[in-house]
Amino acid sequence: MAETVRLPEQQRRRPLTIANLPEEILSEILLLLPPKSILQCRAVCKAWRDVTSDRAFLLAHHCRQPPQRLLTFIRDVGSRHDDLDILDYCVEAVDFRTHQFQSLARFTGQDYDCSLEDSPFTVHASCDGLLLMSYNNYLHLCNPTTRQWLWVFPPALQHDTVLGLYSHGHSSEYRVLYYREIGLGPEFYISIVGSGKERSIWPHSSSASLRKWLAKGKEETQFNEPFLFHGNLHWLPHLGGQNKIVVFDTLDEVFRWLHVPFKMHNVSSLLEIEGSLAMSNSHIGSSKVDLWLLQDYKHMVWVHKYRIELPVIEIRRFEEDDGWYLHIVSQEGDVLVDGFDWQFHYDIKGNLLEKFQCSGRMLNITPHILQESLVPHEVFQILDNETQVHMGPATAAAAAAEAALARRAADPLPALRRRDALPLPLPARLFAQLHGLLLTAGLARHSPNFSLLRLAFPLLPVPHLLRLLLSSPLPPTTFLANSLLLASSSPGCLPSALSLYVLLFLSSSSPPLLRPNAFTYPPLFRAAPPALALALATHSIKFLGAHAASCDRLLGAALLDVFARCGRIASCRKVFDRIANPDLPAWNALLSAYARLRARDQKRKPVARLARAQGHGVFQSGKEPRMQQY
Amino acid sequence: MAAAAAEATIDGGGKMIILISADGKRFEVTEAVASQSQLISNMIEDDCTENGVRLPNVDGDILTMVVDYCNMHAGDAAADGDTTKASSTEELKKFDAELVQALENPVLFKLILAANFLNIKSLLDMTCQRVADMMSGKTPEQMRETFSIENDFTPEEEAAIRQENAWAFDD
Repeated sequence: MAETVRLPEQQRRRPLTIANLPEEILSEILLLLPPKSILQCRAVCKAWRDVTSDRAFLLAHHCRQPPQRLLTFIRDVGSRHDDLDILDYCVEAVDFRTHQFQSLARFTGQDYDCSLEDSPFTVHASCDGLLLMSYNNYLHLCNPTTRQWLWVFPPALQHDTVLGLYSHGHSSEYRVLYYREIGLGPEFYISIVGSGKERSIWPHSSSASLRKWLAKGKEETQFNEPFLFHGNLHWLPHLGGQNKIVVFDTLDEVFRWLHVPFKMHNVSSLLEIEGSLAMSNSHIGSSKVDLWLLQDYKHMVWVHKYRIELPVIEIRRFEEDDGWYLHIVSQEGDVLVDGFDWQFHYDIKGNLLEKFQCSGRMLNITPHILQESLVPHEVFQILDNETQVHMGPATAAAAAAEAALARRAADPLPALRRRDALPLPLPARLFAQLHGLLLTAGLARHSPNFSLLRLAFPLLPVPHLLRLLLSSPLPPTTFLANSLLLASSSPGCLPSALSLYVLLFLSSSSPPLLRPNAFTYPPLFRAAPPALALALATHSIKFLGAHAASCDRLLGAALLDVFARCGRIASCRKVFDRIANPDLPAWNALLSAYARLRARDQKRKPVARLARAQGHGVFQSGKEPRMQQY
Repeated sequence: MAAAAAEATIDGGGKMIILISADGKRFEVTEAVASQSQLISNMIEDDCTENGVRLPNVDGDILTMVVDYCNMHAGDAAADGDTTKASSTEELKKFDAELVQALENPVLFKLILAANFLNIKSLLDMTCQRVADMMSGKTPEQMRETFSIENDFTPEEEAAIRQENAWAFDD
């Protein structure tokens, strides 16, 4: 009878509340909550804030989060009538136990030709709840749970290929492993995230055969996405490769082989089962999948644990071709069937639990596992004092984004405002943060993106912005230049917009940084007085001619409007003829130009064309041209 | 351990143990039922249950619930290979859900304290999960109301916390 501690009499009489629970029980209860609720609990009272901010608590919470598989896919933005040629590159996480999908991040950007080029978006790695992703050659480290973002450089993705992300030993450092292939063979590098420095690793392996293999370069040594197990990175051989796994020992920072005694088929994947490394092994279109367990990691002893057989007929009902992939995805023997149109979730006995269909296209079920984490990371903390960029809720609809914008308007990025006093040239880090802002703002739809920019950038004087842009370690993108220009051409800011425009033109080499498109010129035209707008419009026409660029409809309409305002009918016709598929606004702009100039004679021709166009069903949207202009 | 095991009979009836609540109520349970409590299990091993086990932290009404729970779950470990297991797991789940669902907050917390003191892991897990379910999806204001918690932040402190992760408070 050691424990006979009596509660104080008073406490026994008063009704018991949650405050009477010992801290370890309160902590146990709070550990059961999802991450968002934990953050909300911090605002309840001081006791709860202290428990939920404790590092040990947050680490324990991280370990309890369900492992979620990451998926990427792309989705078109806009409807059929509003074809913007803009895509959302989406990252979602799925928990196979609950079949819950969670949106983690979304990059909005230009369409790309998947037959000619690789996707501009990649999820490179996932480690301790952090994701390493790149979009348009910019590498970002992101904690989707706390919505903290950080731009990572080096590596420079123009010439470096990212292999993985890991934490080094028990330090709080995160390191990126990558290689650079210039001239002879690939050279391997490591960079500590946030340090801005890199170092080459050599010798990178004690095995001569592995060194030889690694030296072959990109053509031969394709690295898939790595699987992180016990802190080390593991790559399965690319299709038809050697029967060995490549391991990067993250403590000693060297590569080594991990031999596999059985035949690896073309659909294999790694997973963790009961603390051991395991491999799911199958053929394309097969009904069977085997599970192998690496029982003794040090001595490379593999054992065959079990084989799961699925009812093929059931899958064939949905999948026309036998081109599906089977993967065992959990300790419990859950099987994921990755088909062309459908994805299926079977249990170990071959019972269908759930089937899914992706709402986008180019679905990629990555091997990356995310366990959400609220643990504060030093690498984000350093930046906290400077400019922290929060990601807007990727899942929120446009309305929610607008609401968030309204809140920001009330308190527009105080951190950015403080920037004014910074000595220049500004550190690359700030540029990274600003660029991150551009990109993360893009996580909401494109329109809030630009409204957000307008809100954010007028806080910085244009010369600062520009020097910032030019002092960046990477060449600024057209997108960035355009965004800056758009941002600075809000009403009343014309002088700054113009000086930015001129500076961008002068500073940029070939091909020019600034390209006339729907986002650059129209706001300038609107802001400028007629004479200046005319000069700008003439310039952009020349530019289009010089670069054999096509004129998009929005820009076309804006140009038409400028020329019409200034009475340049000939230029109007020139612009109109440049528009590949003139649509309703273009026709209206042309017609209103003629109408304004009272050039009745010349109006007949476009009217005749308009009639023909109507006959050909150009106006399928059901709208009628505004005939009051006649 | 060996001595205790030898005393217990095969059919699980075994030795009876008397549990005495804070307000003097007596409960007679089998060793198998009682030893779900790690605390009592240790006492059985140490052979100090002769004169009944006094539980001065646990009121009679709470101990009634605990004993009910332990009686229901006593078969758990022993029922391996039993054909009726599937149905009995269903029944147990239902019983568990009903046990915690209707409880008033103070009673629920008393049950948590009792489960913690007696060291009955499954009961502690279940009751903690119940409280967590009551917290989940609630705003800080709603949580304060549900659990009668006093807000001891100054408005500035609270605003600063909300600002730190503003997105989590969007609804």
